[in-house]
Amino acid sequence: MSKKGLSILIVAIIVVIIGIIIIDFIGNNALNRGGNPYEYNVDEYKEVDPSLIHYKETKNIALGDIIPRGMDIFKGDIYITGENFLKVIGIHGVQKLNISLEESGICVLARDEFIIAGLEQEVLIFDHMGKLINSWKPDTETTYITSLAILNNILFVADAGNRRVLKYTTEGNYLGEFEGKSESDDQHGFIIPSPHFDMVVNEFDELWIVNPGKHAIENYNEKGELRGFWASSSMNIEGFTGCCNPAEIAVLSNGSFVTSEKGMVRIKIYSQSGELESVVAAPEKFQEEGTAPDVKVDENDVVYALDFDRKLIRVFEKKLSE
Amino acid sequence: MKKILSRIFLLLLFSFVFFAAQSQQRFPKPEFESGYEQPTPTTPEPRSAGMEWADVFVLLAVLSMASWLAIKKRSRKGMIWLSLFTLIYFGFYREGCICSIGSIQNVALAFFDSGYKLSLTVLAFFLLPLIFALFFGRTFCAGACPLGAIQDLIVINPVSIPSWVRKTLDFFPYVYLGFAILFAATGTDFIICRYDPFVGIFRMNAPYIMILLGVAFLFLGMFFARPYCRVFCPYGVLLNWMSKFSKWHMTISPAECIKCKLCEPSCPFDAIEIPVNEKERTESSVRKNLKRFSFYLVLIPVWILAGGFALSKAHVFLSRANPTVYLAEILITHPELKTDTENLDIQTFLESGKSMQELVEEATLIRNKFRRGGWYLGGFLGLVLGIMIMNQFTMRKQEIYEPHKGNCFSCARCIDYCPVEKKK
Repeated sequence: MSKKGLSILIVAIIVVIIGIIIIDFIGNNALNRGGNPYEYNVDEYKEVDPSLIHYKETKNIALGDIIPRGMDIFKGDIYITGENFLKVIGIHGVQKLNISLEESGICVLARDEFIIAGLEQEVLIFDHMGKLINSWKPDTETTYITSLAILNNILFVADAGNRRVLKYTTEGNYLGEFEGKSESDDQHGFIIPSPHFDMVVNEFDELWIVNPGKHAIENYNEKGELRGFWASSSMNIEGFTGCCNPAEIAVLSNGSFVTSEKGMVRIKIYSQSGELESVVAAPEKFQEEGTAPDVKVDENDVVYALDFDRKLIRVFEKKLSE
Repeated sequence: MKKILSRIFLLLLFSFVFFAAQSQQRFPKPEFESGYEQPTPTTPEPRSAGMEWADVFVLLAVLSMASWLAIKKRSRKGMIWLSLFTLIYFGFYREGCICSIGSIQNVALAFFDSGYKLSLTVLAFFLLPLIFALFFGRTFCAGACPLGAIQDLIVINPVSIPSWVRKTLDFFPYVYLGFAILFAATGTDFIICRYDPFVGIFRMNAPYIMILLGVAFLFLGMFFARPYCRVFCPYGVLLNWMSKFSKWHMTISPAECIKCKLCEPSCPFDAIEIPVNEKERTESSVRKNLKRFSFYLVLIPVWILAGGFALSKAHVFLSRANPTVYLAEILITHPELKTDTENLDIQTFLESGKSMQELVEEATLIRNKFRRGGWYLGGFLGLVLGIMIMNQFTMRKQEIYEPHKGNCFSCARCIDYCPVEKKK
């Protein structure tokens, strides 16, 4: 650039700098300061690119005047537990079974042989007629059971209160427990700042456990040894936010994860290795700062979300064009 | 090599600032109760008096060292190392505060507001560089100012801009100084600190607009060396005045100047006085210049009055920069805003328990200060402008190459260009 050109550029930059200072100074007053600068506002992160949303809501089932806490989908039926009940309802909302519980059910798991209900501090096993077969309580007072999973006849019980996963036989015999600690120094045990600590076993018999404080989903073998994990922290749609997310997970038949987040409520699909694939439901679909819906998937990869705030089971199916 | 280092330094600075701006908050919060109690927030303790005096001591040591390096040792290399120390200590470690430049405002506020107590250390930061400038020139700019140091490190391809542009820009530091004192004296704002373009870099944290300004200054500084010092620095005005009377100012040549012209392009700040060709000085040109000089000398009182009148008339507009005046004004013109729960300024006032009458009385007092201040500031700027115009017609007598005592930063760049050996 010529000397003259540079001189003009220099003067122009100086003028711009002076202009910026004057405009900022004049504009910084009680009327132009805008809203509260200290206000915590995450609205901008609630916007989701519509092209990312690959699912549409096709149906919902109203649950009426009950307080639901957990759900499972098994062979076309919906198993739902909550304040002093465990119900089985058909896919069209017809009640098939109702079991009264002395305490609130937090989570439920249905299999061919039985239905397992996880109360805050107790595990109950029923047959499909609603008859109690077995029950037991873990040994500590601070236990807070949030999830159940079965792998190779071992029942895994997630205890959020003690940041551990307990292992039992289905008869209730204690087999051990693990806290997610790894031999590697850079790994940490389960960090559970809220009562959300979910587990799932996928089609390939892999046990995946959420480590919400690390925004991670971790794969463990039966012994409780860490085999692999992925994590994604971000306020943006690509990751998980806040103290502890995802709050709930499920798996699709191809091994992809369905995740449900609290705070900024949203349901998303991640590949097995943790890349965001699509969005099932954006925050606008849920109550602001609501509870993370429990999510489950049926054999056709239809996503069921238990919306605690609206007391609805909401069904999301993949859009035909996707 | 220096260019590469400068670019790496710039890249690092920019990336630090941008990463700091990208930090995110956490949402949602944890729900489990563990019995942990949040500690009550406390106001951080100010720096201990001992440490404040330690800072004064460091400043004194750096000023002494800079003066020695510029005048006695005549070492540019030494000055670079000293600048680096200053940048690290007063810049990154002390995060640009306290600095002598900003201390102007503390002194001004203490002068006009008896309720404001000026600490001795702040006064020392204000006075020490001026005292040194009075004896040794602007050695503060050379080695003791972190703002100068950060700009000095990125001078890559400095160009000399036309003299008329330079002289026009020379007026701006006076304007900045005047307004900084007016706003500080009226308790309105410390604009020197608020618009310090490098403090965000030193603290690795700044509002977006300040990041933009910092980047703009650094970019500009690659071609127009030390833009902040030359076009903005209000403290530079005071240093310039002091330095003009300095007894032992740095010289280009250690002995007699041989007028070899080698030093002519060495100064990136255009602060070298070039010898005047005496042959061009004719009797008629002297007479013509003298006539013009006399005319503009007589005109100075007019400039002072015009400036004072103009700015005193602008006091209503200027006083709106004061938050109290502005608040009173908008509450009078838009009383419905009292119900605006989103407006923090208004809500804070309403919750303070102050009455509207008290607010208006306070605002009136401040506005009167602005009217008086407008006269002083306008008069001062008129005087400066008048002298600057008048100086265009002074007949300079310059026989050797030497630094302009007022504008020279005593950075010692030119020394290395001089082939004259020091007399033993």
